[in-house]
Amino acid sequence: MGNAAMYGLLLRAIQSYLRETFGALVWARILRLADQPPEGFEPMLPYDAQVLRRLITVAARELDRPLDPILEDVGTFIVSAPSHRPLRRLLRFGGASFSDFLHSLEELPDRARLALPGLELPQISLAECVAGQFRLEVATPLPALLPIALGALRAMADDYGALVVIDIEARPSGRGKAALRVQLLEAAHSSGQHFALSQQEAANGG
Amino acid sequence: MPNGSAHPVAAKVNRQPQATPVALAPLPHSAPDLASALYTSSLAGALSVLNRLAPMHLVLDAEGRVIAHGPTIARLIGGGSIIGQPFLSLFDFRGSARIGGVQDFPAVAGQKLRLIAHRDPQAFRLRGVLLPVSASTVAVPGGATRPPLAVGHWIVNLSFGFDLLRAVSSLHLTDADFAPTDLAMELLYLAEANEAVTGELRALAQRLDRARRQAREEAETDPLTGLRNRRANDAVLARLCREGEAFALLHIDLDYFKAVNDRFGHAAGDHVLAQVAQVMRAACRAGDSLARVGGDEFVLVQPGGTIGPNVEALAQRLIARLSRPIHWQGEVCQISASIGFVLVGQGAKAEPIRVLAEADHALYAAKKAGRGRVQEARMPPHAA
Repeated sequence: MGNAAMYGLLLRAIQSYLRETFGALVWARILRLADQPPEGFEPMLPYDAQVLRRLITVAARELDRPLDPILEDVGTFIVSAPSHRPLRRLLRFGGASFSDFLHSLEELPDRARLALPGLELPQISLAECVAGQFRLEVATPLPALLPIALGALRAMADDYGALVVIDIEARPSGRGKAALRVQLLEAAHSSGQHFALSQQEAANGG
Repeated sequence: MPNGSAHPVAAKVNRQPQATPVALAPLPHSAPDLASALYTSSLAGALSVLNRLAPMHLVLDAEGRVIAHGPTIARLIGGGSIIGQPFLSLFDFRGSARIGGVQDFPAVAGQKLRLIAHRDPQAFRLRGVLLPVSASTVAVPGGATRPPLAVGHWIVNLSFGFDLLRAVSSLHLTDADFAPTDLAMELLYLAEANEAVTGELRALAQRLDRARRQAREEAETDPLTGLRNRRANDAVLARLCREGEAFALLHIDLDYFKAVNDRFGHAAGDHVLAQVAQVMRAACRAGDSLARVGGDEFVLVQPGGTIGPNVEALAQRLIARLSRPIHWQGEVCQISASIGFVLVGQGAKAEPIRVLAEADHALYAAKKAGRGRVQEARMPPHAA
């Protein structure tokens, strides 16, 4: 499966976000303009990068918005939407605090493979240069992944109740590795979302 | 025998089930610290090491009574303190281990044990290991030794095994209830990830199944009338012939339909066909197969051997109903029908193509004899 599996998950996430936010009609039009079948995307089927590039280009044009903010919203959506609760829970297993969670991101590709053998996520390496200042390097050939990761990280910080500032590092001339900068201002800014290890307990609001 | 229940650490771990994890005594940070904690019988230090490394441990005295235990054991057992109680009154051994008393401990020392907690209403199946505290485990500076860690004592360590998920759910465990090196978090993660992925795959399978059914239905349905099409009819006919079942096949052809089309246009024609389909469907029994096999041609297949004498009557009834005027946008469309039918007997194993040809032949005869007639095939295929 390799990267192809990741594209299935990404396309499905974008589909859920666009359809739930802008409605079925807008989504159907975007699919049509991107030359994709009307039934949309299956998260467990492989696709290639070309489909993803075409889809997001068309979506940005149709919604008349720059691409990056749309992708950031996709990232936030896949972590915080009620329909994506399982993913939020899986991510929360990474650590008891947001900084713990950030450190667990280095093993994210391994976690992903454990969940779905054959799924290849890009390698992530984390450096905490100064206490509370993180640099998250993502080895991806897919630029779209960075704003999605940014949105998802913001939502996770919110989930943990942490106050953070996250931005995409301006790329030096040439092709440096893509990186996010995360500034953890306050680890316990708000109460965040409760996380119970047991699913039932979590479902009962415990 | 010293009184273990008076030990401060043992008392401290008996917290309320819902309470946040107790603050452990400062942990020794290195192996030499740990060794020195043990060597100098700094018992609180040694036990706090155990509490963190093995939160589900129990320390037993030489008589097998609990003199200390880790914090998660308190959660597991619930109720009041278990300090001073015999280990064997708290846990049941399962599996092959036969343990009647503390004299049997040496025989199972170091083995993988299966246990169930007595007081625990959920009956979690636990894994465990029991080890003696030997002279090599703890040095005894002369006279200074005090329990819980002394030669002749036992240390038991437990884990939840496959009951981990159930335990986490009903005991409200958090990651603080497990040793930091425990793979419990990974196991919980894996179980949930597995469920999520399986859920997605199941949803995919259901969507594909729905799509397959729909495609199949569309491939076998005449879109205008909702009846079966020729392909579906051929499949039904082939099956009946192959299995040697008795059945009747009626070939129905509308009369004056072309005139309706010519006079009122195709929209009127389509309306008439839809009405005709409704009339014919109303005449069908469950198990019959009704198909539109051409522009204004229909085939009705009725399985079952007892219907032979009634088929002609059915055909006449159909013609009578189809001859009633059909209204369309203020106009009246008047059609009728001709029917040729064939009866195939039980075990005849007729050729489908032959059955169709016979029915077609009979229909031709009916048309020739004037409109609105019924004709049975003269030479039923089973006689051939």
